[in-house]
Amino acid sequence: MSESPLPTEEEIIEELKESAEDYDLVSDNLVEELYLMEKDYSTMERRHGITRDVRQLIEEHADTDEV
Amino acid sequence: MKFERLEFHNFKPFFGTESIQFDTDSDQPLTLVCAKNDVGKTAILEGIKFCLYGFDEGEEARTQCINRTAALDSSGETSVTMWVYHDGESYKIKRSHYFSEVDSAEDRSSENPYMQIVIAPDTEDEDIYIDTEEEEGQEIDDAEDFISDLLPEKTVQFFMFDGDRIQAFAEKLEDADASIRNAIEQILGIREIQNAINDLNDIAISYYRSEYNDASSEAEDYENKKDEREEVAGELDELQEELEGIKSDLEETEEQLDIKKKELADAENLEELYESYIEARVRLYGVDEVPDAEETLDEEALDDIGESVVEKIRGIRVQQKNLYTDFGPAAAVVAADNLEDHMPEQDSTIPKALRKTLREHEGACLVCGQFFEVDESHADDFDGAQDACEICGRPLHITEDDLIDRYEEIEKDATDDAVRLSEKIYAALGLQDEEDISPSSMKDEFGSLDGDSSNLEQRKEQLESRISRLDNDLDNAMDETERESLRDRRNQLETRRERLLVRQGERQSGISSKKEELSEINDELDEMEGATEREVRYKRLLNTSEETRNVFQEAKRSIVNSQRKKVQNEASRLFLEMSNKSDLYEGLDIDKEYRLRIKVEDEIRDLSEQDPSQGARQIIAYAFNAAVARSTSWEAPFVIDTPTGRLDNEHKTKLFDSLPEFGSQIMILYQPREMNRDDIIRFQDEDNLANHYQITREEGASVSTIEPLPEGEYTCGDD
Repeated sequence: MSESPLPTEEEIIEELKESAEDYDLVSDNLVEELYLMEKDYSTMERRHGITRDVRQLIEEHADTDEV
Repeated sequence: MKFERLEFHNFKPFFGTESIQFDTDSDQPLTLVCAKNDVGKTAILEGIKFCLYGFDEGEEARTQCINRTAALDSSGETSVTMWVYHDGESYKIKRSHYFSEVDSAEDRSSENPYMQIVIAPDTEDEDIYIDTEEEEGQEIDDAEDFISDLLPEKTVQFFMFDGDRIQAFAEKLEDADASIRNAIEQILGIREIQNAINDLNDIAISYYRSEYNDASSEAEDYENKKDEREEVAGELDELQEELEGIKSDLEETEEQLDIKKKELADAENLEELYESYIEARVRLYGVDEVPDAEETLDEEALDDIGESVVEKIRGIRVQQKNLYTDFGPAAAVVAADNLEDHMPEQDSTIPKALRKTLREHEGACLVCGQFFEVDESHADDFDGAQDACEICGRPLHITEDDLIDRYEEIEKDATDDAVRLSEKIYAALGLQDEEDISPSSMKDEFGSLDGDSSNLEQRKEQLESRISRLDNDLDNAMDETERESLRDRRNQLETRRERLLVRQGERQSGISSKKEELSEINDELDEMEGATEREVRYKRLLNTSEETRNVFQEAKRSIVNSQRKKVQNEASRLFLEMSNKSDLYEGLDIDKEYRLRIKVEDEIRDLSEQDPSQGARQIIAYAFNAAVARSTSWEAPFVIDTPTGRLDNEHKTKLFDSLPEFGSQIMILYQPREMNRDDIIRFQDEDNLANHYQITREEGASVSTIEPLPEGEYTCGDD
C-alpha cells in the first residue's frame, strides 16, 4: 500500500483481487465491479437501485459460472 | 462532507434564526467562533450533532433544546439545518420539531419531530425527502442510512469533540476500548468497501439465505410430495385391483343369480303348471271327470271351458247314431213314399223306381240307413247281390219280392214307425211337416257331424298330448322344500350381489377420490418443479455472496491494518510536532488492537506507565484524531469546542500551528481566553482563516446571537 494517506483505487482493487484468490466462487471481475458500483452510487442514489444492482451483479456472476 | 452553512432556529440560546456561513471554495480551512461562557458555544456543537443524529435521550432532550423565549412568545418550530457539500452534490439536512406556546418555559414540550433531506436545494433539480407524512416531500424511511453514509455516528468523535474532554478519549485509546477500536476500524476502512460489506450482508446474503431456506423447504416438500404421489398411486392401484376382483365376483354372482332365478321361476310355475294340467283335463274330459277341477279352477274359468271335447264327441256320435239309425227308416219312409208314388199297382217300374231311389241315396243302406260304398256293380247286383250291409249285416241283395216283403214289413212297421219316426224325425229335425224331411240334408248333416267329430278328435289328440306333457312336467317339478332351498340360495345371492355392489360403489368412489388426489398432487408437483434447481441456485448465490463479503472483509482488514500503520506514523509525527518533549518521545505506537502507547527511548510504554501530563495526553489525542482524519476516506469538517482545554501556552501554540493540517475544514469554538490577538494574526498571516464569528448576548438577555466578528476585532474578548 502506498504511503499516501489513502490507498488509491488501483491499490484497493488489487487488494480485493488478492483476497479473492482464496475463494472459488469469487472472481476478480466480480469484486472489481462491485467496488466500482459502490463508488458510482451517490449517497441518495444508493437507496434507489443498489439492491437491484447488487443482486443482479451477484446473479450474473454466479449463474454464468464465471469463476 | 463540508459545511456550507449552519442555521439554528429557536435552538437552545438562539431565539429566531442564527447562522454561520462557510466558504467551501477557499483553501482557508479555519472558521473561528468566539464565545464567552454560557452564551451558546457548546450549543453549536450540540446542534450539529443533533441535526445529524438526533438525541439519544429522545423527547426530553428535544424539549430542553426549545428556546424558552420562543416557547413563551408563540407556537413554532425548533430546528437545526445544515447545508453540506458531499461527493459532488449539495444537500440540505434539517432536523426539526414543533412546540406550542406556553405560559411557563417549564411547560414547553417537543411535538411531531421530523427530518428533511433535500438534494440540490434551492435549484430546479431540488428533490425533497421527508420522514413524516405531516410535511411535504417524498417519503424517506432510511434517513439514518443516508446520514451514516455522510459520516457514521460512531466516527464523529474523531471529528467533532470537546477539547476539554479529549484526554478521556486518550485514556480510551490506551485501554483499547472496544467501541473505540470498532470506530477506528470503521473510519480507517474504505467507505466503498464498508458499503459493499453492508450491502452484501443486508441485500444479498440475508435475501439469498431466506430464499434458499424457502427453496430448501420447497425442495424437501417436493421430495415429500413425490413420495406422497408414489403412495397415492400405490393405493390407487390397490383399489383398482380390488375393484376388478369385485367386478369379477359380481359378474359371477349375477350369473348364478340369473340361473337360480330362472330355476326358481320354473319351479314356482308349478301351480300354474298344475292349473294348466287340470284345465286341459277338464277341457278334454269334463269337470265331472277331473277330481281337483273345482278346487283348482275358479267358477269363471270352468264356465269358460264349458262342455268337454269328449262330451262333444260323444254327443256327435249320438247324433250321428240317431241320424243313421233314423236315416234308414227315414230313407225307407221316403222310399216308401216314393214307392207308393211309383208303385201304383205293383208294376215293374217299382224296381226301377226303387233303384232310382236307391241311387238317389247312393252310399246309404236303405235298410239301416248307414252309408257304405256303393258302386255301380252293386246296383247291378240288386237282382243277385250277395253282399250284406257292412253295418247292419242284412244282405243288400233284395229281390223284388224281398222288396215287396220288406215294403210290406216296413209298411206295417213303417206305418207305425213311420208315424213315430216321422214324428221323431220331425221333432229331432225341428221340422213341422213331413215334407221337410230330407235324407240328403240328413246326409249332409251327418257328414257335417263327421267333420265336427273329426275336428274334435284332433282337438282331443292335442289335449291328450298337452296333458301328457304337463303330466310329465308335473312329475319332474320340485317339491316345496326344494323350492324353499332355491329361494334361500337366490336370496343369498341377491344379498351377496348387493354387498358386492356396495363394495364396488365404495371402490369406485375411492378410486375417483384417489385419482382426484393424484391429479392435485401432480398439479402441485408441476408448480413445485424446479424447487430443487432453485435450492441449488440460491445456495450458490448465497455462497457467492458470503465469499464476496469475506473477500471485502479481508481486504478491509488488510487496508485498515495498513492504514493503522499510516495513522501511527502520522500521529507520531503530529505528536512530536505538538509535543514540548520531542527529545524524550520518539513517537506513538498503535498496535493491532489499536491500543495507543508511547515510544520512549526505544521502548514502547503504556501511557499509564509513562504518565505524561494532561496537556500531553490532550496532544496525543489530537495527534491521533488528526492522523485518523487524514487516513480515512470519510471526509468531514473538524469541530472543536474549547480546543486548548488544559494545554499550557507552549502546547497551545504548537496545537494552533498544527491545527490547519487536521483537515480541509475546521471550526473552532473558543473562549476568549483560549486565543489572543497574536494567535488570530498568525492564522490570518498564514492564510488559514476563512471566517470569524462571535456569539453574543446582551446584558440581562437570555438569548444569544451569532454574528461576524466586527472589523478590527480579533476575538470576542477584545475590549
